[in-house]
Amino acid sequence: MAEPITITDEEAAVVLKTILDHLHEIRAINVIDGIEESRRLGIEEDVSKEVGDRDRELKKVGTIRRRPATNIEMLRIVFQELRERLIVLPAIIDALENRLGHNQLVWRVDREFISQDLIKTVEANKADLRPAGVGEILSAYESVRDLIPDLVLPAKREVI
Amino acid sequence: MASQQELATLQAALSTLLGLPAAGQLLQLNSNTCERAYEAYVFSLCCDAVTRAGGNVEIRGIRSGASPNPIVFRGAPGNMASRDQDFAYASCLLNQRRFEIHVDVEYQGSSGALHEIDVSICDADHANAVRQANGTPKASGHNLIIAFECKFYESTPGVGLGRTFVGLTSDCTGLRLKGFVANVPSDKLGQYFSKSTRPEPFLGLNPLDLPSEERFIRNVEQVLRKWA
Repeated sequence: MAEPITITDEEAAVVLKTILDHLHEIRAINVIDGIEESRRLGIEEDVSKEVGDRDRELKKVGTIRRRPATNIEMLRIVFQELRERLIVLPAIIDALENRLGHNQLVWRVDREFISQDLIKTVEANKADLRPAGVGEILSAYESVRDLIPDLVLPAKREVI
Repeated sequence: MASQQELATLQAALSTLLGLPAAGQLLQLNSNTCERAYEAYVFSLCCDAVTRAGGNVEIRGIRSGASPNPIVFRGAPGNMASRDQDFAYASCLLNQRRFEIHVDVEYQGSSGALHEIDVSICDADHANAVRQANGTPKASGHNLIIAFECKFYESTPGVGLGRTFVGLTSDCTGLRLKGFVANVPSDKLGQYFSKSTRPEPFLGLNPLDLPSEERFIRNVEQVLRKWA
């Protein structure tokens, strides 16, 4: 197992760029949108201690303030989002099979309410959500986590 | 600070992960698809809750009847009575009371407006009437028993969707449980739902967090036991 690495905020920016470049390259549009949405929301902080000693009028001011995320924080958020896609989503299919049996599972729409061009974006099969090679994803994810455990949540795949 | 070599090792590990064909496939999925899969997962947990309460669950297709194969979930919200596809629902029996679990169907609120409810538990007589009349179920009286809003977050959760669900449930009457379910934990959402009149939050509910599943199933089970 590799030794954990501590990275600086500048280095986090480089890693972030590598991930975003790759996501752009494969056109993972919705994942990129999610990351940008998180960037827009920033980090909410409780600043009540800062206003604690102020006079009465200033104490009436709200105590939650939003600030931009640092690169390290953004990287942590990005890894959480990658985890949802790469680890949690396939696990959802496992859980569905465990509970509903091993029948085929498909997602279909009322054809009357959608244009032909959009059907492929809303219809799916089990294999779309749990493609072959999920085991490799898990081990590659763990390798990344071994290097930066502070920034990457454990995969925690548990058998139900 | 990491050395050049350590950084290169990290970049290589990342390239391996993101370069896997299966990873590419998952990352390119439409968010909608992820949302629908998550709703189906919550549906399956509700089925579990019925069984735990001592009830029977039978998955049915609206066209094919019992034990459909494939099980067809809705890829977009629609009408409960639609026979356009063999849409699945769970037909349940608990203590002589019949009810159904549906995914992604529209209900008519007390204002007359239509609302999409991600996972709902509905009285079976009402659901049968809806299918017979090719109508819309009503989210009033004692028709709609439980309503869940399900969200598979892929970004930092904000309170926007929670706020929308609070508005939706204010247009429904007779609900025994209204819940906001999300795949990730969120202090912000937890705080937002902490007021007693607001929906019950089930945050961080996913198959990799077994205690969260257990809490959800137990809650639904208790509500159903009380109701039935």
